[in-house]
Amino acid sequence: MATNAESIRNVAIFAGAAPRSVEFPDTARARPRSRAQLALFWKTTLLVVASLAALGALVVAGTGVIWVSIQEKQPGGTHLRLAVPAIMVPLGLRFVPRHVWREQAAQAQPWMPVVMVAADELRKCPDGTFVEVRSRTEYVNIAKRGGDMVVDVDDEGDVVHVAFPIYLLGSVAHQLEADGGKR
Amino acid sequence: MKMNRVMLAGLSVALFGAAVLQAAGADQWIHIKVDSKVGDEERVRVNVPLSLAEKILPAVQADCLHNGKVKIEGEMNGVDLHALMDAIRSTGDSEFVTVESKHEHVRVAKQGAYMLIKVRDEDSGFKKGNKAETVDVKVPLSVVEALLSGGKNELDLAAAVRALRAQGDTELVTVNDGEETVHIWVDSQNISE
Repeated sequence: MATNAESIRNVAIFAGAAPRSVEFPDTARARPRSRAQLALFWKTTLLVVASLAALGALVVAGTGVIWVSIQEKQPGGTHLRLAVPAIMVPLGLRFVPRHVWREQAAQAQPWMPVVMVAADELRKCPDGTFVEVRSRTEYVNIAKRGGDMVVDVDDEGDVVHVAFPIYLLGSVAHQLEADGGKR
Repeated sequence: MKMNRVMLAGLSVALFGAAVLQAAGADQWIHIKVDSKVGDEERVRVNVPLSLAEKILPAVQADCLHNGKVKIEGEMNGVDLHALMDAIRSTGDSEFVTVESKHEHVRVAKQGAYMLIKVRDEDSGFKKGNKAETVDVKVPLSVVEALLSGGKNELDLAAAVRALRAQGDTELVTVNDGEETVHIWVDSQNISE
């Protein structure tokens, strides 16, 4: 099926008003091409966004997630649920002004080698419960599950669950130590 | 038929080898179990892989603990721990200390490859409504030797943990005073119960 531009061109050639070599302005043909370009643009954008999302998901899956859940037991108490990509912590620490945590970093400095060794060894350790305290009013559990440390506390006021990747301990300790060294 | 037997024998050897390798690679855990019958009836379970303790101890640089060694601050009154250990090692099975009184019995002895400490305190036990307060400590001599392998007036905790790890499954401490029981032992399980 001929487009409008082709029909006009054919009529003009047939009437002798135009030689065969004449090219007519191809506005009508340009429209479908720009539509195709637009579609290509959207497809490319979608592909880039999907690739970035997949890459982000891969990074989050590879670096782990910090899960925090705090539930107040009182009637109408809040239930806070938080899932933070673990990679955000060392990245975020880089942007925290040094003076905010300088003192704490200095105090924690002697224990940083211990934390780093512990983090390294914990990753190699088999899974298990390290500490469990159970009484009539309280329950505390600290365990290693996979590459995560999991802390559960259930007392009279709250139920708290925290899980974080073990490598995070070493990573933060490295950063604090480096920061302490720069003082 | 003969081929099958050879294959079966080979498989058995391979399985046995795998089991031995697994046993050798299994990590030892030190367990502390405290059960209280009073107050909130608290139950505490602590399970620590000895490999973890072995690596962490040398990294700790605290007041009296450096490089996995504890400095004994108190007066030793001229007691040479190394000489004492040599004497214990060279003697056969024997009782070193025996205290007998109306309500209290204390016994410190060497038995095989272990140092044993047994305390029975009926007086204290009766006060808490129990038959008797009992303390049983059983420490492998290799661990005591490793503990004393540091310098003078020093206890090498890291070396002791290494020795404990090599020792295998061991009962270390049992205390029962009627209100609380404490149990410390080493095995290859990662749970207390």
